Amino acid sequence: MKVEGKAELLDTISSSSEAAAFSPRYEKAIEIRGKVDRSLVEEISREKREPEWMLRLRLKALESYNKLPAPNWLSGIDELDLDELIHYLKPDAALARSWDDIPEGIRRVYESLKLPEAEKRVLAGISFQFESETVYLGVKRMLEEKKVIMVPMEEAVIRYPDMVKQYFSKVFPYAEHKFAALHTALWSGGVFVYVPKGVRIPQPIEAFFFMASALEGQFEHTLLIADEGSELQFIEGCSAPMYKRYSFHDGMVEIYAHKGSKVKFVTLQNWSGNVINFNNKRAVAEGGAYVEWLEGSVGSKVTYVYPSTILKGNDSSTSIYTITISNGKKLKDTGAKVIAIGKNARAKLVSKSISANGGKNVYRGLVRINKGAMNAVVASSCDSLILDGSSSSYTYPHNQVEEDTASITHEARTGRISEEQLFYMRSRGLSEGEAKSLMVLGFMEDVLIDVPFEMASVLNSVVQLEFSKLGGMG
Amino acid sequence: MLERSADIKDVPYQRVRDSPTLKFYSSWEKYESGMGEPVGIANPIINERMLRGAELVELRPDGSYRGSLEEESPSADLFSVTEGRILAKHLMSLKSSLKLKVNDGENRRVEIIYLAPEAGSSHHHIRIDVGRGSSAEIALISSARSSAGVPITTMEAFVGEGSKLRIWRVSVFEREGLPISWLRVSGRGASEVEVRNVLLGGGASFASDEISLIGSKSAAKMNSFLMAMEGEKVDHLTNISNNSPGSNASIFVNGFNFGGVLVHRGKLKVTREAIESENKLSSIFYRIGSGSKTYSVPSLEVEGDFAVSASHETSVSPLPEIVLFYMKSRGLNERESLEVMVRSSLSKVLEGMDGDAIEKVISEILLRAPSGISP
Amino acid sequence: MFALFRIYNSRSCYLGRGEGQRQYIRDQYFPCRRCNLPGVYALTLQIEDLYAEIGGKAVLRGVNIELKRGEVLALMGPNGSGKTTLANAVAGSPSVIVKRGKIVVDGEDITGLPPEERSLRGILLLFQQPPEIPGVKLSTLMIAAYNKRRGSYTDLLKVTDPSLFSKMRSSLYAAGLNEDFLFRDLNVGFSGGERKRLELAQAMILGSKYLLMDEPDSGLDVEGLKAVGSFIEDARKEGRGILLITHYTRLFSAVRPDRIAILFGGKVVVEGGLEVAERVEKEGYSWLEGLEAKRVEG
Repeated sequence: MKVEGKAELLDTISSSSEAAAFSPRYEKAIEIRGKVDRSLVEEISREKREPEWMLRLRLKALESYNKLPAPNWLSGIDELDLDELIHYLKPDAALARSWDDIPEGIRRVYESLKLPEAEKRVLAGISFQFESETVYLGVKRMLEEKKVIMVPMEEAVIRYPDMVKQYFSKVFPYAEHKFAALHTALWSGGVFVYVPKGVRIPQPIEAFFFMASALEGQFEHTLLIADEGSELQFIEGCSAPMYKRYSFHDGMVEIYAHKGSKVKFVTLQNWSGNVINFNNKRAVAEGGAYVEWLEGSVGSKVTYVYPSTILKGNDSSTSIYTITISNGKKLKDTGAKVIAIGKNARAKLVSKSISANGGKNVYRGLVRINKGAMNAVVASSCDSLILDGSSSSYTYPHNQVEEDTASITHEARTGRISEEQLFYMRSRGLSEGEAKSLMVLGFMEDVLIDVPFEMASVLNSVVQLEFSKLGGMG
Repeated sequence: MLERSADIKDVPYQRVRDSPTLKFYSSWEKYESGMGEPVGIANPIINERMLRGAELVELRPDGSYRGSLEEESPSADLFSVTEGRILAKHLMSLKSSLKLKVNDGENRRVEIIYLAPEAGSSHHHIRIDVGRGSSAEIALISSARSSAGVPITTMEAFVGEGSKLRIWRVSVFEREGLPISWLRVSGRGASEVEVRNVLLGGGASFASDEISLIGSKSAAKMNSFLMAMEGEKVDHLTNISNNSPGSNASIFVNGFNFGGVLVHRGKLKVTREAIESENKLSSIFYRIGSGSKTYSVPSLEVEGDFAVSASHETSVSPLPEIVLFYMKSRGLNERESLEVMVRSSLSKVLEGMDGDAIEKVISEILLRAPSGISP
Repeated sequence: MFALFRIYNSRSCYLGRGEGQRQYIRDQYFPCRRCNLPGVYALTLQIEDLYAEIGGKAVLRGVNIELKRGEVLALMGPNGSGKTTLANAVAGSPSVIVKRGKIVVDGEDITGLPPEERSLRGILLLFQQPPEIPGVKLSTLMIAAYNKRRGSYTDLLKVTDPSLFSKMRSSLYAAGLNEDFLFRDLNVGFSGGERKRLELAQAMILGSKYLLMDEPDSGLDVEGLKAVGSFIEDARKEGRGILLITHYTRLFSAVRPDRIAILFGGKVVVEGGLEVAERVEKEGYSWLEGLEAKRVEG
């Protein structure tokens, strides 16, 4: 799937740290905080003037949330007290279709992310979510001409109820775990995209999420539907300023890839270091469809994200690349999941993690081959690089094969940079940090060659920024 | 000391769930429902002595034993009743604890034959103390025909400096059997601990091996052969916690699945103490019959950049075409090719045991393999 | 004999941290390249009274060597005499702890500098056993090293000089490798000979002033030896100083060293012309034992 020039676009993601440097001032319209209960959910739903069926779905999810135990494989969320969070925060800004109409405080964030330029030049469409609401949505005429639908999730609930009902919470059922249930009960914001049959969008669509407040919960819901034979590339960027207290992100992405469609979903997560990030991501691939996930996890304090693909149709395939960098006292609990149901399913899972300065990386993978998923072939590999004695890496791949004709392989290696290698590089004139960043890039090489060039170059500069300061100055 | 008062009902089967999508890999309910007062003695499948010239110890279903071990009041240092319900029930059902002591500089070879009950559960605990500069070779053989019993063993071993301990566990059951065996070994400096398993069948066989290495330049090596037919399940755990500088830890598991369920969970933990150590976990599972289920969870935990190497790999697949073709090009048919593969895998695990007995085990295994193999 | 040309200059030249810096005057005079003051120093690599240990074990016990630019000094000695340690000490390997003495390049004391700073000052070590560096390609490393040598760059990995690639290619060919090696992970799966050739190619690409060639001839065939020989010959003509560490005299048919020094027991015990190498060839190193003792006494 070829997508034209995205250098500027990805530039926006790498410049997100600049935006994060200041806390924007803006007027709040509504703030709902406190204990997660029925009245809180009803209030959010009322604010959104939702149809009855969506409220019922929220309430059912709330029930599940109350019943489900906290996932016992989680660690690092002791600080999280859901009842003290702001669960819904609506800025005083109507949805703008032109960025001149955005209130100034928010516009400054938007501009510092270099989003207007990217929109003009390389994006087919963009949405910008500030706190709980989408404040800006720009769609190029080309999308409208091709009858592509791109609207804020709330608008889709009202304008396209049948389609939303068909997919919403169906790809990722809320009952699966406590945080999925919480998300569905409290969701706000996010984008709905429908690509009609046979339509190929040459430029990517971007959604950018910004959390401007401390102790905020952001629960955006993104739903992408690629109809038969269509192609779509979606890019997600995340950023937040640094506060003393944490913020909680519990988003969800649902993708339904119909027969023969191709969907590529790229995330570069660069939340500030006090965000607890939980992201529920799942795709269903019908016959012959291809879904690609690329999850670049750089920021946040704690991240739990497991991009998953259910290979439902025959000959469907998926690639899931995860790159996680835990530099400093951070925990990244990530992994890829594949469930093969259809025949001849193919999957490739590649994970690269880098731990430095006390960082911890956990890979929690699942490869499940259901009975009847004949000739499924899954290859997964996960490599970890540990840069020092205080950092660590944990790998827990679950391989469940219930089909006789399936072949799966998994391999994992944990490596380090030896003193000898470092000396060799330094003897050529590179500082310790430069040598390390070169070796980190080399370590990521086989993932980088599979990602779009521009994406690779962003990751490239992120790595150089993160690691070249290590050790002595060059 | 065990707390007899602990309320077993409140102890969960397992403290931590295995997987977000499967509740448990182990058939805890099955074992629990099979437990109870032991009835009769099941007919063993392996009647041969497997360790030539070894002392003989016989464990009986009612908790009594015959042979050259010391008997102590029940106690376990490396197991706790709070870990899980089945383990708790076992520990509290122990009549005694058997002690095998290998003095400094001494060499001992002991073959332990575990006679399983026809129904109900039997309980034995063995403590092995290997002194300094000594060596011990221990074989734990349990096998039963048409027994629905739950023979349970806990074994704990302490290996002194510069000593060697090699343990074989040969467990051969038919599809009703529910054997459970836990082994925990603590190896000190410059010790060598080797655990080898042949785990064959059982309605659900559970065998867990855990080695903790402390002190420098130790070695832990695990090598297991697993096989399950239709209606059978083998559930195997291999964990090494490596805290030993300059050590070598390796786990290799080879499974042949003839239409049953094979579960292997292995964890290699490399701590900050294990500087300049080498660590490897690998497993290969072949599917031969139809309707097989294989679950493989090879985990790796590495703290700090101290180890020379830490890796794991696993594969689950039909017998590779290329291997079959290679063997066929040498004139073997499929069944013979399979036999060659099973034999070579088994002989690595059984190496060091009596040749005739090995043949007996191999032929028992090959006898079970269905004739119509269709890779 | 090493002190012959040494003059202690009272004027400080501000080279490095310069106060009271010793100046070396040989046959040529140059302005200080840092401060451009008319300080003077000689174009030499000077190893003075160097004591160093590895893992707590004393390996070098007072090594004195002076290497001029445009000179080939062959360093020989039995196994374990400290040849590789010396090269590593000069290049700044963290595994070698310098206890005493100093290393001076073109008048600047580099003893305390990190390896990369030494490299940027013109010291290039060609490793005896180059390590495998998975993921890092020769081209990547050379671009980065080249950019560092140019001084100013915005992106370490950006190709600033298009001619660099043709230089890399021609250097690889000259070293007897094809250009595929540009894009292969450094030394990963390379044979011993390939590794040696790759080191040679790097020396051609980076053009450093002083080359510490640690057994460049081991593992090489006749063709490889010729390539090493002609490279050294060219480097000498270009005015680069070469410390050639070798076990055998076979390389001397391809390149004739200007001097030969023998390291024995952590010291240079003999220095001379080809006749020294010939004696080593014939008699091995046993005749040196007495010499060492004599020197200690002296």
